[in-house]
Amino acid sequence: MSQDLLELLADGLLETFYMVGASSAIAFLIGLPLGVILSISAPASVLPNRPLYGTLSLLVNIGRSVPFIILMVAIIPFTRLIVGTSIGTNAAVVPLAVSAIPFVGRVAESALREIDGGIIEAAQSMGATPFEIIVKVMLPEALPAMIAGATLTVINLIGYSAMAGAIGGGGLGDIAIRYGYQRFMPAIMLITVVMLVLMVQLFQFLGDKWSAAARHDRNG
Amino acid sequence: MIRIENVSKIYKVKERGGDEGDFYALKDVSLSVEDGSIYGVIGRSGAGKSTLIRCVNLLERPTSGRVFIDDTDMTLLDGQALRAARRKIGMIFQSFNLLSNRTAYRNIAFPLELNKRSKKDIDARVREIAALVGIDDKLDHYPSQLSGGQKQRVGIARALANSPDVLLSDEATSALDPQTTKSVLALLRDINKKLGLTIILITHEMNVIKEICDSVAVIEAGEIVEEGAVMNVFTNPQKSITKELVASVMNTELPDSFANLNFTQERSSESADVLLQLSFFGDIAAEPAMERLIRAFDVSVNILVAHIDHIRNMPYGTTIIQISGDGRDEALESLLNMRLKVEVIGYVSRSFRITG
Repeated sequence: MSQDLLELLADGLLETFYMVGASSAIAFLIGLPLGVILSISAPASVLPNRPLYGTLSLLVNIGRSVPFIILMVAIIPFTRLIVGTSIGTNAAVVPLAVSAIPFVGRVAESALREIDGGIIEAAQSMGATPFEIIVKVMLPEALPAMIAGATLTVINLIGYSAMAGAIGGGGLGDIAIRYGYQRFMPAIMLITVVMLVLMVQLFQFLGDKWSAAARHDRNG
Repeated sequence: MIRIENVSKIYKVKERGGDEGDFYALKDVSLSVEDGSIYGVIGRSGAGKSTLIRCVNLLERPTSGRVFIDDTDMTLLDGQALRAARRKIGMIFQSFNLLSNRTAYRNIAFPLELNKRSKKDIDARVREIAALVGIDDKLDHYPSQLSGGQKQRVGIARALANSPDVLLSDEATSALDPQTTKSVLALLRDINKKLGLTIILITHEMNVIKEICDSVAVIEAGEIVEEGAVMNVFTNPQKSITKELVASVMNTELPDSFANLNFTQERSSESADVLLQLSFFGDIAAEPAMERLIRAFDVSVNILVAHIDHIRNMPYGTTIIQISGDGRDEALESLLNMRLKVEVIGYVSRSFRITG
């Protein structure tokens, strides 16, 4: 394998890491609070608020039902507004983050919903404020499920980031399309696919380990 | 002193046809609990006892009525004032409700953290209270590593951490086996004595009431149907549900072999034997009384049933005797003058003999 090719793949790998890392960070930053608000505003939760819950829930559903490839094109004006261009790695981060926010929101909401209501009631009986209940009870209790959800999000984003090659986003997916498909180099196609598979395996493995380490609600 | 005054809790329910109807989870409930006593509320599931105990710390807000703890009307409190009041009311639960991601130590520390106590204070208090409930060797265990009884001890320690005046117990022993139930009840009685803590507990198990409660209220369909000192309610139940509950732990029913006897309430003939149920408390025993009967009067005494129960460690004996002989009226007269509870069950003809 030539030096150029190695450099190409190394750059692609870094770009993929960059896209997935940046979009994950943004998605968690916005998606987690969204999930918390969804879960506490749900009917019969800590601070029920039907209009708020209904509105957010609808937005999340809309966000999740638009296919990524369409979303990517549809929000080009928004992307241009944020990063100044609609082409390149930075431009790919915007639709990746936008697509992951509602996903993270739902994952966080369902992780928080799984918490036994009795535990929250116990905290209320001890005079905990709603904020203390969120920070000291709900989030720590939901942590293992949250980590599992975060793993899922990152792996989804790895897959989506490969599509971002379509708008010149760079990354392994971009290389696979340009070299493997358009220049008929099946070896490169294969190498990028194997690298993506290994990446997903690695994140799944690390996520499972971390989630298990945070879990204390069962033996062993 | 805790006073619940005319508390009702009404839930709106959708009835068939779409109309809204009222469901009374609690209906005009009033009761008062003396400081330092253990007050039990017993009822079947769905009777409203769970709603009632949640009205004490306002986890459920009564639709109407007032809840006083000392002179504070809890129903008037909100926000910060309510949270401050709740810190003086501990609560334990059937399913323990411990935080699964915290060790026993940090579970007990949790209410202290909420109360913004210093790390040093928290450490001292956690160790002190853990020793009191006998869980001090399990402080670094997570709840999943503890047995049911140990989890409830952690729950009790957590409830006591902020030195509350009142402890609410929501079916705290219902998920435990009989042996563990006994030891947890003993612990509750122990802390009631040591700390002068007022305990309100709800249960569906009459055993719990019998073991540790001073007073009891029987709740049925959201209403208190009978209330009083445990000794009185157990020895003299009025309502049919109370009689059923008492019978479930006291064996005051006549044995089956009596069931198909037709003894009569009215004396059928001059020569009929009299059947008596004698009840006695504490150190008064029935045997000397009977010996005296036989010596003093021209009677023979046949003991049909005799057993001793304990209510809060106080012996409570029940004896059913059959008195025959010419002196039985005088004997009955003399029994009524003794410190025994005497109840004439009925009369049977002399030919009656117990079988089986």
